[in-house]
Amino acid sequence: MANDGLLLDVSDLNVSFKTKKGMAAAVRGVSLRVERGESVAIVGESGSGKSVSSLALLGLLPKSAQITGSAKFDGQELVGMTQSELQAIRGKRISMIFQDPMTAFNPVFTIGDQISEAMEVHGTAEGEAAMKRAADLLEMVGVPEPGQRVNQYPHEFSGGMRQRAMIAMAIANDPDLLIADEPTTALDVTIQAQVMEVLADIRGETGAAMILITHDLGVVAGSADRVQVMYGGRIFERGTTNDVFYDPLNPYTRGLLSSMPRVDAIGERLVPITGAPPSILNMPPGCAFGPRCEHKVAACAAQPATLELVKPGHETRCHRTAELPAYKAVETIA
Amino acid sequence: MTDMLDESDAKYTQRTNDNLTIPDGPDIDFAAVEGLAENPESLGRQAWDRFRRHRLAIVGSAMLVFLAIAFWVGPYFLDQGFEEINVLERAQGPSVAHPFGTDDLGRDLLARTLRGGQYSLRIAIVTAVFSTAIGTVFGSIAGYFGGAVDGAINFIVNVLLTIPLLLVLIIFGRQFGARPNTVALLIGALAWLRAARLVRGQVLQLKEMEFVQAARAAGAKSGRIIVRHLIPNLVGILLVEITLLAGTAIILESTLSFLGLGVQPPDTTLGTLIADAKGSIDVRPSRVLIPGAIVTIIILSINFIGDALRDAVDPKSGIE
Amino acid sequence: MFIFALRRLFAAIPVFLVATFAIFWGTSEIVDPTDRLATCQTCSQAAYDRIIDLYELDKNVPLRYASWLGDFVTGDMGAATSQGERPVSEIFWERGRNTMLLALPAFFLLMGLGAATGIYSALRQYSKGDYAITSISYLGLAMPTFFFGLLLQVVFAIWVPKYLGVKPFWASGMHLESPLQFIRSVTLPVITLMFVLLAGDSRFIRASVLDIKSADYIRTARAKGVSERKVISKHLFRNAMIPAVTVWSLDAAALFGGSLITETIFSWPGFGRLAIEALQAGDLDLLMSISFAIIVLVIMFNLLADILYGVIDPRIRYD
Ligand SMILES: Nc1ncnc2c1ncn2[C@@H]1O[C@H](COP(=O)(O)OP(=O)(O)OP(=O)(O)O)[C@@H](O)[C@H]1O
Ligand SMILES: [Mg+2]
Repeated sequence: MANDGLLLDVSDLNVSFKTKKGMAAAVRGVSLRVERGESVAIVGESGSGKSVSSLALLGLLPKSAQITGSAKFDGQELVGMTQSELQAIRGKRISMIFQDPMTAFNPVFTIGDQISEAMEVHGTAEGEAAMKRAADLLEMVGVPEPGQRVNQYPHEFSGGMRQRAMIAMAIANDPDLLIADEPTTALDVTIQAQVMEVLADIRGETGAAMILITHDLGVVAGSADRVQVMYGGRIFERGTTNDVFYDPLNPYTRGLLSSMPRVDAIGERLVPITGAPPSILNMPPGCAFGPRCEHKVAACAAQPATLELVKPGHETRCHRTAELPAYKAVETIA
Repeated sequence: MTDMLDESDAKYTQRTNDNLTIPDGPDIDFAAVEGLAENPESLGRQAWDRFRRHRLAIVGSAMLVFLAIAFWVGPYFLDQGFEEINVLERAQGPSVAHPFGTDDLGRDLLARTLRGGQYSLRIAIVTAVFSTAIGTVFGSIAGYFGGAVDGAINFIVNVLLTIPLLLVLIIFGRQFGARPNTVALLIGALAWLRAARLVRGQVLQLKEMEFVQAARAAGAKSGRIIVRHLIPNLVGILLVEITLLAGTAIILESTLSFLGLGVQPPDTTLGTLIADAKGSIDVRPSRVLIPGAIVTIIILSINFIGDALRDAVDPKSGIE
Repeated sequence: MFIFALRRLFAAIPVFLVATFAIFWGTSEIVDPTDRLATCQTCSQAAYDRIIDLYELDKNVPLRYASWLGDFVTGDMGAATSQGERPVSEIFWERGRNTMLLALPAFFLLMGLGAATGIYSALRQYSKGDYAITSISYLGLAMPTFFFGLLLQVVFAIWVPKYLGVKPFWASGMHLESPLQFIRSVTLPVITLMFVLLAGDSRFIRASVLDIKSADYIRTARAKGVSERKVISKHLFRNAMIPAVTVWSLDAAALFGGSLITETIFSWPGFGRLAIEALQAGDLDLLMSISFAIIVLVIMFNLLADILYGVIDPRIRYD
């Protein structure tokens, strides 16, 4: 198993929450491999378990979460690690960038304090030196006048600037892996592109691997090497970005793609997926996507499909893979 | 995830029942402060929490019904009226004839306690309804019209927040305290601030909503919009407010009576009973403890009901 | 910040004026200083005229208010007829000190205990400790202060001496002969003062901390590798101080203005007791001075709280 290039190897990860209405299985049998320096996107609708799986890796879920399975980071097993062992990894070897930059910074401390704290807790820099590096980091991510900005409070930053500062904080200790959980969802479209560019530049410089979590396929296209599509806590399809975009095998992935506007297909009809994702407390016994799928047959409701390798590096979870029509990316309204 | 522990702090105004200052809580968005932390310990524990919360409210309601029946029906079963003086049986301890004993004039303390309970409950209800009504009127006008009207009402609120509530109550209590209804009106006229703020906040939200915009576009008059569209949407929080204010009212009324400024003899309230018994506290502490315990039980019951109501009204109640 | 404080002070002036005028007017309508002559057989017309003259009862209310206010702001509160003609400022000084003897310990205990129980309860939500604190708070919110005070007296001045044969605390009066006597006499009134306020504070802080505990920035701090202890002592605590300042400023205004009930029950010659004495004696001037002083106090503590918010919460800007 030991692979020099392999940074993260998650297998059969399960997360359930104890809730007042019963056990809620938010993540079911997820596996994920990230090579050093690689970028993997996790895509799926809201509630599909993307955030929960990444938070589970770092032990950041509330106590009500039960986690089973394995997640080896650079050979170390993360599942079942003690809090103090995890603290040594968090922010040092694996960093997170959160969705909402408005609430992710502590309002009562300066941006500089919060970035230096990331270094101080891991002993990589202290006091003045840490502040100095915080300013340098802000400069790296394109925050103007970093010397003054370090002394400002989060509310004095705009959304886009805050997200840049968040990135600066995440790379403060030169981590091997960045987990960006919807880093652009809360931002304006123009700023989204800038932030993604900053992330790409930073990765170019530091060589960090990245897990990019998003429900926006548009963000994925330019910034991920591979894609995993999640639905109802399970992986439904995975493969290289090209494979998944141009030859999607799973009806759910196809649905996602045709509900998304594409620059390469002007005049295309946008077809939303009908219905809503299932409640994690009340999953259908068969295929989780079954009830919403236009290709469903009786077998789909009976039991869940398994993830099958269709061609090298491209897997899908569907009972009907062989029978599905070939994918037409563009339906022009001629 | 809201059980009795998650009740936050609307009742928090009761905190100042002893002091000269501040009738109302701070200018804080209570909804924002009410945490909804998802951290259940176990399934059984959660079920227990829910059960327990509702049970407390149910116990509270049953308790209030029981007390109300006792206060109003009980006197018919007693031989001695609450005003009847019997000099031969002065200052007696509990006996079969006088389960709670008698006071210094030989009046039956059970009869007097029931009478006092009647007044306390009555004053609480009148005060709460009256006060909430004033608050609703001011709050909805301030929220709906905004601008200068809002500013003016805000000024009144600020003034009232600065005036020491209990001091005003004792000064005016001498004049108004003699009759229970006027005591209720006096307290009510001073305790509407939180209701006004709550209603104002709700109205600010509601007035931006589609159905109100639609009514306005259709040419409905402001007054009509407030009465027809806004107030019905406020019923939930108003119910909660009335409940919690009833508790506050009982505390204030009993405090006023305790200082001898409330309902005047020979009539009595629970606060007056305690004040009367204070002198003989070392001989017969039960004369203080019984009415005190009844007041406490009434307020506790009211608060439990208020919390359960707020839970029911609060849209944030755990994941689906 | 200084400019801000000044501006707030100016904004408070109309509130002060309207509030004091309302009290002045209401009181003049209700309290009649000549009342005490009604039952006095030996008093002469001269005495009656003297009272009319003293309180300027021949003038109308606004005029009386204006002249009264003029005296008050220039620091001339006159002498208190009901207190043996002693200067009001001297009485205030003495009664204020007595009130402080209760209010200061109560305030500091309240700050410590309110924060400790509230934060503990929130961090250990649904634990046994949380249930215990919550149950006691419910009781605190449901018990009128006067009843709680009397209850303490029954327990510590009657039952404990009777069944245990010791009398640890004074149940009435101020005893300043020695530090021990002082402690024996302040204990029960201080607990009484604190109890109801503590219940409210603790609930309020608990609710705030529950909210902060699940805030995004707490998760961010953990994700950086900050230790759990430091997440709480630094990130959570600092944010919890913001709502705490609110309740503390209310507590301060409530405590330092004196308490009617506690001082009455424990026969403590403080500021709150003075208000009742003035009312009973129909001493209009003294009652007014007390009301005005308390209104000033409330406004001051509000101002102080606003300034403190600015120190703790950088989102509040004063410009
Ligand atoms: N603490 C929790 N307790 C109970 N259920 C939870 C908890 N946190 C998340 N869940 C549930 O787990 C499921 C997956 O949530 P998750 O946050 O991973 O979704 P997501 O894919 O990140 O969606 P989004 O795009 O909205 O961020 C959801 O149904 C959510 O309600
Ligand atoms: Mg998410």
